[in-house]
Amino acid sequence: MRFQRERRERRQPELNMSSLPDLIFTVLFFFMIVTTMRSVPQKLRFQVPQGTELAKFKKQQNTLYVFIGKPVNKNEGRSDSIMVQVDDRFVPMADVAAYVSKFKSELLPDEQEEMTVMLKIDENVPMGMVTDLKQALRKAGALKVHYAAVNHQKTPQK
Amino acid sequence: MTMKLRRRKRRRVPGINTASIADISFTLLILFLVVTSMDDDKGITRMLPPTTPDQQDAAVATERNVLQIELLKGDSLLVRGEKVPMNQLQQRVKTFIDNPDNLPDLPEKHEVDIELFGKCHITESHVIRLKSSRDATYGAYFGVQNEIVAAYKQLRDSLAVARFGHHYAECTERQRTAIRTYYPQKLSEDYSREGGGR
Repeated sequence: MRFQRERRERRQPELNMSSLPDLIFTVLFFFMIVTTMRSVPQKLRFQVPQGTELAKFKKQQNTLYVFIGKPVNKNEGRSDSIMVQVDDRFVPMADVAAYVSKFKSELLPDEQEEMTVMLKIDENVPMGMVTDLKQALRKAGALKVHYAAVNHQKTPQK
Repeated sequence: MTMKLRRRKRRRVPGINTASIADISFTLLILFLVVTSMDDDKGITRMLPPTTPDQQDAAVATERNVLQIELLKGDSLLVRGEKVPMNQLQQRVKTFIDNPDNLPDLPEKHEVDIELFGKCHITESHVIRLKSSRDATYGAYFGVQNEIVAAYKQLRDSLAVARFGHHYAECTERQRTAIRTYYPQKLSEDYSREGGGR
């Protein structure tokens, strides 16, 4: 008798799905907030260096992106050549200064002062190129630079 | 009477079918999952020196006030002509900036009146000069920059703890200004080519 009663109560309960949309909405809002639409297409492969003393960089309108690395697409230049990409196009080192000063001249005067150049440079790029780039930026009057990096993975060395 | 009752029954508001909301938000969720790039831009911000030659007066700094750091080909480091591994650089830079024992070959100290601190002896005229070979890698150069920033940060932090009892990050703007006056960041980079000419 007792056995029978137990079996009758063991019906499978149905899962309440009414909270599923709420859950998904929460995750959706999270991703909506953290999303930053990538504005600059990347044509270069690069691994930025690691550091321990990094500061966050607030993205602004008056930020110019400069990348140095090897091209992703093998057809664009030799595959082993290191190239400079300013915004969305390849620029030869000799023309960087002209390109940057053109970018700067199109900004408002108070934006010009705050203009920052974001340098995303592969860690294996020789310093010669970086120095040339910095000289070009100095010539163009774009003095505020930001060296992009990622947080150190291992414990920082002391 | 019967007519009225019937009409009232008909005017019931139909419930909205919410079954598709989950699908719609799923689609949106997947869209945002795909386009998300979680790269928050971190790094080190620096000011480049202007091209106008009025910065040349830094070159007349006396020998004891200058810490010459050279980054050589193959990413080895020379600090004042002496080979130093990367993990000792931070300590070297800290000792140089602070000059705790007032050594004659480290920067001279001047008495300066700083708000909140009163009269202090600080090495305000020190200069760290960084020169990198064209054949060194950018990664090593960034490592040196990182160590220098770390050295300043630790000095400022320990000063904040000693004087105000809390970390530099928790200081008020006035306290920060005082600390920054105590340990001013002085880094100059040598852009000359090895061949001599600019």
